[in-house]
Amino acid sequence: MKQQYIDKFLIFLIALLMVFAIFLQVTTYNSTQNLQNAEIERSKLYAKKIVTLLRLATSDNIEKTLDEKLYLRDGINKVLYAFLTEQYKYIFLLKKDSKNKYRFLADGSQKDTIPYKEYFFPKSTQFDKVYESQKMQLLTQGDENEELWVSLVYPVMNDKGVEALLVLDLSKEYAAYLQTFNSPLMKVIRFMQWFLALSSLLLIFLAYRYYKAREVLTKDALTLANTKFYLNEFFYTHKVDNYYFILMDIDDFKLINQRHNRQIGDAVLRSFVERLNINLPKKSSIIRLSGSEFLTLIPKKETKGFKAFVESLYSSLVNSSYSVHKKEVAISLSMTAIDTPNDVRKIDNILRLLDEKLLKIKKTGKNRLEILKNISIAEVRYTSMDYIKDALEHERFTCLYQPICSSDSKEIVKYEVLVRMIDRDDKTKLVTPKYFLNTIRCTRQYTKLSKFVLSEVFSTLNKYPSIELSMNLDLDDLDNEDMMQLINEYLTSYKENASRLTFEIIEENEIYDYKKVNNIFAQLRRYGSKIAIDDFGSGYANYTYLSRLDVDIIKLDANFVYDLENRPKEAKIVIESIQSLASKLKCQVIAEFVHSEEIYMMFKEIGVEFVQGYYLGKPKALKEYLLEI
Amino acid sequence: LLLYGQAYALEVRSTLKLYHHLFSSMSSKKSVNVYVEDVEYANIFVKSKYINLVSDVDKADFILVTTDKMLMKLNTKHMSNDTIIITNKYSHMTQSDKIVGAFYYRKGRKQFLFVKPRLEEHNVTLPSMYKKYIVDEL
Repeated sequence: MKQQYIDKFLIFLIALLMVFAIFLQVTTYNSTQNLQNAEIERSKLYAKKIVTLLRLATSDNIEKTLDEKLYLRDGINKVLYAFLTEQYKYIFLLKKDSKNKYRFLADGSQKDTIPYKEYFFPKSTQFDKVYESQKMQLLTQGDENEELWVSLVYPVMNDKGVEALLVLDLSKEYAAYLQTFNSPLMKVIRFMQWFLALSSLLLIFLAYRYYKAREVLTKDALTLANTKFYLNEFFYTHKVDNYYFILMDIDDFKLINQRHNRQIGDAVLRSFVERLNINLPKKSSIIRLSGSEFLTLIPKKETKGFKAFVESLYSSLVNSSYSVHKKEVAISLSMTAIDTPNDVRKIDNILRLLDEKLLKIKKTGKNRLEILKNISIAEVRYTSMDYIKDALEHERFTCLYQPICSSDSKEIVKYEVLVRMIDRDDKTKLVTPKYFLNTIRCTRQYTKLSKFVLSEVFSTLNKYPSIELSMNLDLDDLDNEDMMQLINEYLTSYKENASRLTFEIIEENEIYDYKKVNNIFAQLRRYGSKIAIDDFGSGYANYTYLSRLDVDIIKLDANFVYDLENRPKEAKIVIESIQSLASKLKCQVIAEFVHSEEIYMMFKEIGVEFVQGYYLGKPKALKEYLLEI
Repeated sequence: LLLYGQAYALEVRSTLKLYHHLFSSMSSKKSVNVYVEDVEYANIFVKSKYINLVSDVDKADFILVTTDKMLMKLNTKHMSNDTIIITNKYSHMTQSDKIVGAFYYRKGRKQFLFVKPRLEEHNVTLPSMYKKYIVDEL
């Protein structure tokens, strides 16, 4: 279960316990109140009986009777005493005299009986209220009275109204006794209260620990920028499309450490973040993604003219050197920025685009800024793993075929198979691999896609025995056991068709183990398939490959087309030399990106045997070409 | 022991508060001289800066009568009008006209009692909160 759900569950559980404890307390309090109310009701009946007895003894004028019959005073006192049970502390009879002062008429005490007509000064006005309302009143004694809990002031009535007041004082001891009925429950409640109080303290302590731990997790100790953890959390509560993103990396930062020392390097990083902070609008965040790589999030609301802002930021970060430990350190910076399209929901999609762009900058000279412009939400979506996964699950992939022709006759000799993803909402829109391939590389989805392409290729070969096909294969795939197993399975299953298939090897990285690669090529060739080197003349695909690898075909890089248009004389010499070398090595040469007749003629004149490009045929469904033929 | 100590402290505080108020209502002096024979009261009053305990009845502004023996002694002695005698028993009020007022407990309730002619004799005017405790005669 995710941590956030566990936290919510714990908080819910404690809240539930609190509610339960409060419920128990209220219920217990009500139960005790009911007991006490029942006792008070009993006391009312008790008072009523006493008054009936008094009436019998004193007819309708108590004071006059007691004034006249002295022996009755003691008798009444004894009657009151007889009613003095454990719940009553005092029972006495009062009367208001002509000057509105209260005086004792009778007292039910066993000893120290209050003398007849001694003054009594009640603190409460409730006594007067009984005279006025002729109704019984209840007086709850406060904490200041240690003996009494409740006083019941009962009117003794005659024809003229209230004649006297009978006071029954219920003792605090008795109230405590009533409470003992619920005391086991109260103990449980107290235990729960203690438990909850301790739990709350523990929660506060844990919250503090969490806050501290979170601070360590979210703040980079060296630069005080935020960490990736912060980034992940940030977009739980913020919308991705409300922010601009800038990804930057200090070029060759390791060299700064090497040239100076690590302390200087650290100080440069700190100064860099400080300078970045100064130049960013408020509410922006800086995240240190790795050593010298930083991502900044800038609220769109805080920035006007994004392009100008990013250019100005870039200048301020690289134009002047960093003064650290009395040394001036200049840096170069590769930076890419994106104006996030609306409706982008996942930060991963944005980061992938920025990463790819930054990598491209790094590979092509570093030290510059490139802004990703006019990126549509659709394009961002095509790089999303979920989107691609969905496309694979719902078979929204297809293969197109681009003809490779003989340069002499323009006759189609084979087709290059090109995979396309079909847009979810617009079935006519086909998405090229540049959007989705990098996302799924080294994942199960990549194998799944490869399986689809291989299946399509061999099925086409099987269906059309007269055509030849060419498919792309990443050099890294040859290192992947699963992929090689898959290819071998297809080659073995369809070995009669294998000789009509060419594997075009695309490489991103330099080859170090030529022997191993040649062994893999041999495996692919086992049933007669051919090996082509794609994009020859660019990156690592150069003459070394020709001398060290066993290849059948070389496909010229697109740059040669550009060169033919701009520096035709020099380009022709180079292409002629490649063609000559290839002929000697018994390799075929294919010129790609032939988009016009002019270019086609140039390649033909040079003697390049095969040509491919829009001039000769765009990528289409195979049926269309077959119908044309 | 702690609970007892706490209860005792509260008792001292409430008793002092009550007598401070009572004495200051009957006298305008910054501090008052009090004569009391009861050790328990003396031990409480000694903690007050407002009350000075005196051993001579004649030097007292207030005399607190707590026993019948003391009442009898005072009854035989001529007292100045400046000295106000109070008691903690209702019965003392009925036994001696010299006693101006009383503070005592009845049925667990605090009680004050002042007799009007006796107050007038000593030129004592009580604040309004004590008015309801004043009676014309006993």
